[in-house]
Amino acid sequence: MPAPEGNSEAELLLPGLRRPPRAVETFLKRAPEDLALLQLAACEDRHDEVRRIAHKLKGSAGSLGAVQLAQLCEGLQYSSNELSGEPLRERVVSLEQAYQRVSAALQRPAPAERAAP
Amino acid sequence: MSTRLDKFTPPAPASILRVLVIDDDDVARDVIVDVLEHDGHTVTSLPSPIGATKHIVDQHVNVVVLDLMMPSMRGDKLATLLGRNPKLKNLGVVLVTSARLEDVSALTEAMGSIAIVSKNGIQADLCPAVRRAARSR
Repeated sequence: MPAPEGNSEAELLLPGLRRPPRAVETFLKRAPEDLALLQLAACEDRHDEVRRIAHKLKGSAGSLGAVQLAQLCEGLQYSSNELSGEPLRERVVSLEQAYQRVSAALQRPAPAERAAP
Repeated sequence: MSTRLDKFTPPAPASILRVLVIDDDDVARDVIVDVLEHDGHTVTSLPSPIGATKHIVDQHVNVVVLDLMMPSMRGDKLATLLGRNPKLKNLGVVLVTSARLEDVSALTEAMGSIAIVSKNGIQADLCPAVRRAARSR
């Protein structure tokens, strides 16, 4: 599954959802650690570990409404057995790039806050 | 008359339930707690099933929300164990999962009346599922 390239806020994060600050903070702290472990597992073709981490990230991303990131995690989870070497690592890189976009969107003030004087 | 009234414990109103959330994923757990609290419920949470039964009994929990895939015990297994406990016969159960719902369709059938909610749809689907689970008991 190719990486969706949507960059608008609505494509990155479903609008109108509840995102408690503590959950966002935990996600922004843990996801980079998980992505580093995912990269390592992909480099070593450890498919079980790739699936496990992708599944975990998918749950966190999905519950925050980061649907595009969750879809990429799901794609990696379900295709990791068929991929190895460079194609697997490229998939992880796409996921990292999607995370960076989600991370930036999560740290931007909500539209109402931006509109406040 | 007064004795009868003293012994009568009214059920919690449908809109105010005591809900326990068990999920090893901190992010999903915090979101689930927040969504349920926003819906008016009194919510507690645990990161694993350890101590769940005591918590449910002590806190008079009406509904438990269980993550399907937890490292220590699968949510469906825990749901089955809770269902066999005569002390918990009025407990409602909802399972949440980040797996594709089509991949757990066999489980959906096996779990009977227990709802399975996708983590992608927590914000829209969980509260109605929790209220249904409470009403079904």
